[in-house]
Amino acid sequence: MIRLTDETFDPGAALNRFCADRTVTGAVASFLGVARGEAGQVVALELEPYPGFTEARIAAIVETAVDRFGLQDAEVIHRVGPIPPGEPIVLVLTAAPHRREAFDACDYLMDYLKSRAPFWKKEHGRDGPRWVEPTARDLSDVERWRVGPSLPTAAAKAQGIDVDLEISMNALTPGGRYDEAAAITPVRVAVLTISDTRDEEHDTSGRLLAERVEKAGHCLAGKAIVADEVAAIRAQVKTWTTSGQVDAIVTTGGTGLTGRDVTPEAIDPLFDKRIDGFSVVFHLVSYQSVGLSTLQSRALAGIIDGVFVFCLPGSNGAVKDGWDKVIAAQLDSRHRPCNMVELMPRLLEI
Amino acid sequence: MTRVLLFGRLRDIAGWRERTFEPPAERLSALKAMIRLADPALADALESPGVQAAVDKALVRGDAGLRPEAEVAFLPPMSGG
Repeated sequence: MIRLTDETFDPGAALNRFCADRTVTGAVASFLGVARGEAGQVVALELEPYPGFTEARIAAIVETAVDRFGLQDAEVIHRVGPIPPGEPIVLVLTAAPHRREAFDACDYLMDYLKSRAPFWKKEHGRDGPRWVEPTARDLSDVERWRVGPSLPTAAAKAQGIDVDLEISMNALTPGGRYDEAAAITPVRVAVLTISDTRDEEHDTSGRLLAERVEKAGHCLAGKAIVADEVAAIRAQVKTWTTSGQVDAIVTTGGTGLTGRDVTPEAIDPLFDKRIDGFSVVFHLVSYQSVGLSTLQSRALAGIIDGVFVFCLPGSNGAVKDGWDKVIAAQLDSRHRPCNMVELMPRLLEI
Repeated sequence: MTRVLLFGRLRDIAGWRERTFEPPAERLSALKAMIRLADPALADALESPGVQAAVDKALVRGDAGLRPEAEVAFLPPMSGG
């Protein structure tokens, strides 16, 4: 549950309400942010939301946390308007079967609220008002949670991140490494969900991809849902490949074996070049997760009009495998010895 | 009619919170050009690092198309908690 309120609230009562009637929860973690007075230098804080948008963005952040940490429940109460020193600003509550997930999710949610939740904060001090923007620390805090290949940088180590664990989770491939000194070059990625039954609300794998694209530091250039129809799939893909606004497309869904699964039939004839190895590598990775079930997907990739197109299955697990272990590394300009980003300027050369 | 909303420091720079632009802009770039004619300082601020745009309450990147009745919000770096 997400609540914005312009009145003070009772964190204890909120915690009691949140904990009531929990029979399968083993851990509830909470974080309470309090308006700092800075020894009398700050008279009041003022937080401005963008009504409707702010709630929706926080809901998306919470939903990601619930999915990522396997939470049973989460709640965010956030003040808006003027807040005198000493009063609560934000309360985050998380419930999980075990404490680690509850703690981590609480930490994650606060990092995201600090620099990604649509609030604008004005500090009214003795010397007049000033706008408060996220600090360098706020921005590096949120980087800690980046999904996809991440780097064992000195900064990460300084922050106490378990670098070894990060790497094993990201399954660095043989011989693959990241140029720690370089900055990632953002690429424009469009996400297409191919499904007869999904709408925006139920498009979990599309949303998962869109979030990963943005968390990796890329630009989400577009997101759409089309039915399992060859013409509709082709129309959307060609719109993007010819727009000049998209560097890569990732589709999810329609790669199965049933009659309605037509993504390969729609996309394959459009390829100027096929990337056959993508299917091979995807199946290698996917086999580790689901065994022989990987045979029931026909993931594929290629280049259309100078745009990389990757087609993944519709399940959340397959999308995570495909993005986290294959596509993310190849769309990361820091990946060595090679990545697809460095090829982008040359895809249309004659 | 394009409705424009400003938040945070952008509102202080412009001196307004909400305004409508007529005729409606067809693209974000066209809207920014209209704003530049009216208030170059605000137009510069819209291009400063970390300023994002939301069209009809969805974040957009690049030069998004606008409905005739679109609501465009310019969002400086966000800070909650």
